[in-house]
Amino acid sequence: MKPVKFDYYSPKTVDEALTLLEEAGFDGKIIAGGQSLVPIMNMRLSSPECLIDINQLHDLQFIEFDSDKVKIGALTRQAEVERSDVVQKHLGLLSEAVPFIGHVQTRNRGTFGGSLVHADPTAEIPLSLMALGGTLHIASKEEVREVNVEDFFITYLTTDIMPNEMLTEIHIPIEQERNGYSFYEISRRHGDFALVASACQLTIDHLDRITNVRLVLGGVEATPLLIEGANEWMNGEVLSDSLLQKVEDIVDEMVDPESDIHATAEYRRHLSKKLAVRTVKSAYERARGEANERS
Amino acid sequence: MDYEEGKGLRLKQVCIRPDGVEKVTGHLKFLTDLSFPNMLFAKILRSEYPHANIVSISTEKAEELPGVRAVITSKDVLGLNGFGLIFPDQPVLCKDKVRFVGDAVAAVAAETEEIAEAALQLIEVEYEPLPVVDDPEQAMLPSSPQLHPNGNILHQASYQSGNVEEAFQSCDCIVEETYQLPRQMHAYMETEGGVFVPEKDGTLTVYAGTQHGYKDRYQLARILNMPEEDIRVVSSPLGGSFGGKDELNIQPYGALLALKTGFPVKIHQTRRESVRSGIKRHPMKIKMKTGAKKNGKIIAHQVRIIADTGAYATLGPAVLDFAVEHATGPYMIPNIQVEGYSVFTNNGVAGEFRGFGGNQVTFALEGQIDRLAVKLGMSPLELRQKNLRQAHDPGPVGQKIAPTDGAQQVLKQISQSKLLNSCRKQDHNGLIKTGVGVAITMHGGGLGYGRLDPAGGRISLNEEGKIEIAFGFEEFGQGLLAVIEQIAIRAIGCSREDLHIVIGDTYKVPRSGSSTASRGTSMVWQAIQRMKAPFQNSLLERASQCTDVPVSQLKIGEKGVWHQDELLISYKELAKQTIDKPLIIETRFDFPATPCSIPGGHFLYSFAACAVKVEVDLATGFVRVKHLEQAVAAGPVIFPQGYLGQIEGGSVMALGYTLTEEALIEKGTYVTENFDTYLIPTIKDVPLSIDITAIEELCEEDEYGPRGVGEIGTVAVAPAIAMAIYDATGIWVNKLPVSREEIVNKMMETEMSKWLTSK
Repeated sequence: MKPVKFDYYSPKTVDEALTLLEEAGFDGKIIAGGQSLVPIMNMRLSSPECLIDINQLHDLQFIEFDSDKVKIGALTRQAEVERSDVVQKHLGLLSEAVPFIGHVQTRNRGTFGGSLVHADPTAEIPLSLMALGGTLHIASKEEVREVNVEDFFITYLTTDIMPNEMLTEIHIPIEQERNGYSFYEISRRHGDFALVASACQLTIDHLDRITNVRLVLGGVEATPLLIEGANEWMNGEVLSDSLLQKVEDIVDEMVDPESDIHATAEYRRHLSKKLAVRTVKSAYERARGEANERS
Repeated sequence: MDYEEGKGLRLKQVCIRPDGVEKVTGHLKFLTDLSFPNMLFAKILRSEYPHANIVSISTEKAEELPGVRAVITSKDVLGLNGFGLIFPDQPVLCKDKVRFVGDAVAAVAAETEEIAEAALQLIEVEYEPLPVVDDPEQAMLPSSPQLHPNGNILHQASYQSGNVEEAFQSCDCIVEETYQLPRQMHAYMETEGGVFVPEKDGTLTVYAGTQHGYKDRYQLARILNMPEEDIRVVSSPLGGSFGGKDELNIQPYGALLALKTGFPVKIHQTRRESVRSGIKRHPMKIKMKTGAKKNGKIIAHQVRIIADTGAYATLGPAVLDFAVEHATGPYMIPNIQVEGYSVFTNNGVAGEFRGFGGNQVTFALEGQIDRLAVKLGMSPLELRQKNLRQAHDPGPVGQKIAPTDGAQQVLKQISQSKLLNSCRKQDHNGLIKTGVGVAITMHGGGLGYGRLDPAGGRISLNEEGKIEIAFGFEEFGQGLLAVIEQIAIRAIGCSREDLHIVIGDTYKVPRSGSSTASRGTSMVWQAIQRMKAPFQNSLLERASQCTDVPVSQLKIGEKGVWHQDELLISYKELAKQTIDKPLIIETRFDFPATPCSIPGGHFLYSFAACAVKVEVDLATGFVRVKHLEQAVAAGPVIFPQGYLGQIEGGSVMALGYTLTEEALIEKGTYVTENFDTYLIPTIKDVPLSIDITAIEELCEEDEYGPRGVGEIGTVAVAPAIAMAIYDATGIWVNKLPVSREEIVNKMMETEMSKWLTSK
């Protein structure tokens, strides 16, 4: 199928884009890479009356290192993130996660910001950002506000962004201490939606004790599921079999996946536990400097 | 023979396929790309229910919709309201009963596709739903609702030799298992479609892909109540078929609507329509009991096959016969009992599919051999060797076959595979396990004993001075044109530029039989061998007459006939000078069949062995095939890329069959309606390497030349992967596609579960 008719605008500045958004109200929709929006429109699951194409807003296409953080513009292509030295050096988790997104062709078009505002619960970038922490800069005609990633995702395909707002950039803090990361995903085929994905970012002290951990699961809830309270029982601990068992138990308690044609709820629950343990373990080993090559 | 050269390096040779450039540049027009002036568009209304009585059909509202030019129902079928390659039991348009969700109830021709679609919504059909028969074993019970007048058993086939019951008594080791095989979809890129043009002289031209233009013509003539000669079927090229377009699909509707409206009518099914109406590979449940002596000699083999053939016959009986014949494979077992049932249900329609029943039984048979080997403490390769057929042994159903060393050749070749002894990497603290597996198979070519299996071709020097080679075969991606070109160039001695190849048009081509059953290459080669000498002789005689140079001094070559290294007379000139008595050589013969009267029993076989290396993630059940090798014995290679393409493509198709593909049906209705849920492997899912070895040597007494390799590459892959999974994990797979969840669950039941806790 093809989409229903829509008006099309191609603003040259962020300000112009925001004015158009303000005018269009609920009928407006931003298009960037279009890797999710175009199929959705073609299948007529969505029929916005007004498309605001932000591909000309080159100011939103950047990756910058800034002492204690990395700033990524919303229009930055996923492929640029994948190939960025800055990301590779400071945000290893993203480097590991992005290749799981679709295929080379879709990553060349799909944007970093687009994946966040689309908020698919199985998507790799929302999951990774939740593990990394960070703030999203959201602009409207009136103001630019900052939202912590923990407060950004509301439910399936729904975020904190209002119809007159757009995501402009994302700031991601850089860990200074000994830290490690891991991302793992299981889908039925490469490039398909994840059945379950897990991301972990953790830091350890000089005695290998965990000082901070962020473990996130995707595909099991309406939004990326941050295992809250993990710091309470993991901080100060050295990784052990019993700690990993506890990870499994807590994940078992927290996830409530659903069955569909691709996998049963039971299998998703099993994967959640195993992938959580695998990513925690792998992140910890990385933090200790033990190379962990992925097959 | 022309094929002494090569051997080994042949598969690395590069030739350009005649249809290659047009295909990769997108210039080639497929039949669904054609348009005609004033063309109408048609849509077919399919049943809402998998099983129901039709109470009434009202088309008035649809007919009144502006832009609608015709609506047809069963009363508009001019001749026989039925089709089917064996029995015409599938209604063109259902009158009082529907038996599956693809059953056609009405069809509409309109000025646009959108209007046709809208008109379908206005057709009112009142149904009285009937209980759905969705389990073939239940369907076999007399208490089950009967789908056809002769009951639910479409076909029964059996083979017996020796006495299995007695033999089992003296076995030291018996394996008894049940295997379940899924409903695979052909997944051709071009869905069913075409254009139907009523001609001014009252004839009808059909532009629609099929695997046998003359057979479509025969079936359509019955339905349209027209003489066959008044129907012209143009049937090539197709965007894929794999067996799926051999049976009629949209042709009857396009033809009836074109005749009713008097305008060209185009139909092109959407993927959803294709999934719903199209045939699939037979799901089978296969029970096997196989017994051996301690020394590894297999002495008893008992098989029971139940095939879910869906709502109509199509080639169901032949597929079952093939499965029964191949249930013993390349092994010499003295006591055999095989019985098979092809059973009607409301689960879609199953029919012809690359491998034709061989894939299912080979998965089961090779599974038996591997389980026996493990039980006997013997290497699976050694056990196979001990029971493998020799060159002059009879065929699998005791019939006389052409002598062949193929089984020995492929097993020997695959035994040398480096892959089988390669290192076993572990990862994630041993959670990712590596395993290897091997399977072999033999596969009959041609339709088999007792079936009309005619072949034939024509070579002529046409008016334009081209050497015209005509066959009634179709090009559906398999590389038939390249095969014809290569064989003709080598046999005749001309260049590719001198040739004009004609296929896929009943007004232009001779009868060659179907482009199925791995018979195309075989029949092209045999036909050209028959026509070669008469054509060459006649050509040289004519050249001699025109030039007064004796035949003995003439030679056929590039552009024309040569004399002492000089072009003496061009083909063009020769054609011009002999225009009043055109040079035409034709041949007609039958595909070689076994003299033994076993329905469907084959005479020519090809062989394959497959080795794979897999990685299994114990924590997730994820199976990744890392490397795959196939050794194929099918006679000389004609067109190297085509050969590689068939075996590599077949391997990937079989990989999908093994790991992800299943056209799921629940209570008679498809759950997987498109490629978002029906998962075929992508480039990222295929093995890192696929290595193919072609074994070209035939037995000395074998005069039958190259065999087709369209099917053989799909057969041995699944059991090899299953064995590799066992090798990696200790878990036997009995059901395809391999369920990751089942691997995980089985893992948790074994002592290997200790690997999973806290790792």
